[in-house]
Amino acid sequence: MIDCKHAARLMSRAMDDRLPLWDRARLRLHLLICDACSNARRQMQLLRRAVQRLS
Amino acid sequence: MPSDIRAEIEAQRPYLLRYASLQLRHREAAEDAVQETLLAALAAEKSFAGRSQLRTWLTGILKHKIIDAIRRSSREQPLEGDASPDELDALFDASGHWREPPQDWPEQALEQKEFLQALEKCLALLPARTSQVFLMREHLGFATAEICKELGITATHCWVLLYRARMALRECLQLNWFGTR
Repeated sequence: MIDCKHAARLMSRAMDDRLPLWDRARLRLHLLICDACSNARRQMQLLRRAVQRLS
Repeated sequence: MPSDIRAEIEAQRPYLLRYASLQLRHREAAEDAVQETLLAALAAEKSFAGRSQLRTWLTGILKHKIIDAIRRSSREQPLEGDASPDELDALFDASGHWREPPQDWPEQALEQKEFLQALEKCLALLPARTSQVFLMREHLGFATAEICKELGITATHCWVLLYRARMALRECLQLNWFGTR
């Protein structure tokens, strides 16, 4: 089981490259039970869309 | 070349300068990139031929000029800091949990001009290299492999800088935008 610190790094990396299968599974499992990390992931995705709107 | 096309190209200068200033922190570098873009556009005006929106076409040229400038500056100055994300570990307690659990941000923020301005201010607070890598990824839309190649850094370093940028921007916007609403 990974902690939030580890999950945060994985979810950022998943936005840039395909994660190894094992990491993907661990991250998915963590997100299922962790609201804080699910929020963090949505925040990062919102950041992405916001940056695309600049200029 | 008809003079109205020249005038239309010139009229895009403020937009292009804003675009370039986002990626290149030095005003001079941004102005140079825009100047080169306008000159290239005037020289290649025939190849435009209304294939796309003028602004889209010019932005496409500008992106190449920006990459050239980034490439030049990355040769001149080495990357700051190391590749360790440790300073961000302060966001988590000893058991790896968030000290301040991230909140559910309202999507409507995207529609607010002031929110985008707050984002730009937060971007300006990032270390230059961190924001450069982040903007190459999220604004110019480069794959990490391309960013690594252009800047001569490892994939791991690239991921760390992107992670750092995202976490710092999260914190900054929580403090200066979402937390105050």
